[in-house]
This record gives sequence, structure tokens and C-alpha cells, in this order.
Amino acid sequence: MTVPSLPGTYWAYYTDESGNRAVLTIELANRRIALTTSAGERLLLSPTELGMLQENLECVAQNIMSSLGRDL
Amino acid sequence: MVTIERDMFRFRRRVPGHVPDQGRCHSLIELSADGRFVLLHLASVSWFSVALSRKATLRLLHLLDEPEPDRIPARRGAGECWVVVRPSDRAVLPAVRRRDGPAVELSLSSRDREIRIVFVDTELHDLRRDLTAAYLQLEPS
Repeated sequence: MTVPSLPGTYWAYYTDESGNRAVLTIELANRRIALTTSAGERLLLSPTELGMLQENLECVAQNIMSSLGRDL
Repeated sequence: MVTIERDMFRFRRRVPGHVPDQGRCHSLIELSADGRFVLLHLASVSWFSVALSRKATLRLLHLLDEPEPDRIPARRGAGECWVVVRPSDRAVLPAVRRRDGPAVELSLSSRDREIRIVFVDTELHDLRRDLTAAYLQLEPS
């Protein structure tokens, strides 16, 4: 039996500061992207803010990949 | 006596609903400290707090879409009980909510006490979303 889908809602995993696996809920809320942490904190991002977050996450990911390459 | 410890900081959601003929209330969804159970505090009343296993939580998620009443097993204190899930009778809702989207009722009887809570439309969506998040965070069995 699989989890029933909920249109427009997505989930991702992360690790909280206590080292527990946690779930991030991602959905559209009043023309903003809402990210809800496991503990219930809700972050609302406009499309511009979401674009900035995506760019910065890509930069961090590239930095991580280059540092991994240097270590090999 | 077996008790299930709460962890109020790891996962916590508040879902609105209606108690028929009484008004609005909020129910709480949490995880047990060991991450093995979803704790459902109906109307935020400790008397009506139950622990749902991973299997029962998944079954509840499916029953929210079912046209026929059914029930899921739950733990309450050291004992066991049943949470009944059924499509709601719209007559019990406030007049302004009777034309809204789908409505589901959760009920729990415990000795001489009973509670029924109806989740309508956006409240039902919130219940589905938050129960799903709690289920996904449970420790694999």
C-alpha cells in the first residue's frame, strides 16, 4: 500500500540539528511556495525569493562538488 | 503499564476541525519520542489522545477517501481502541460550511465518553497533508 498522493504537495527529507531524519513539506500557498519544517516552522517564498534560493543552492552544490574533486 | 512518550519538538501540527453542534476545535498531530507512532490528540484533549502505528496511519490516510465507514486500531494509554472514519453527515456542520467540499468524520469512544470531529474541505486537506508528513517521518518498521 502506497501513500495516497496529494495534488500540489511534495515532500523532501533533511536532517534536523539533533541528527533526526525530518520531513520538509513543500506546497503552493497564496502564490508563494511554502516550506514547512518538521517542527512546524513555515517559510514562505515569493517566486523571486525562490529563484534566489535555487541559485544559491546550486552555488553551494558546485562548491561542494569542487571540494570533493580536490580531495580525490 | 506501557506508555508512549511524546516528543513535542520533533514534529508538531495543529489541524482545525468541527465538533458537531459545538463549534471549531484544533487537533494535534505529533510523533512519539521513539519515532514509531503518530500521536493524534483529537480536539487537543488528552482523554482522546491515541497512538497510531505506521500501518494504522497509512490505513487512515486511505480511509479519508473511502465512501464507506471503517475503523483503524489505535493505542490509548495501556489499552487498545478503535478510531472510526466515515464520510460526514453535512447536517452536523455549521450552515455556512454545508456546501463546502468533502467532509470526513473521525470518532473515538472511550468508556462513557465519545468525541466526533468533522474535517471539511481545506481542513481535510490539512489533515491529509500533516498526517502524510508525520507518516513519512516515522521510523521504518
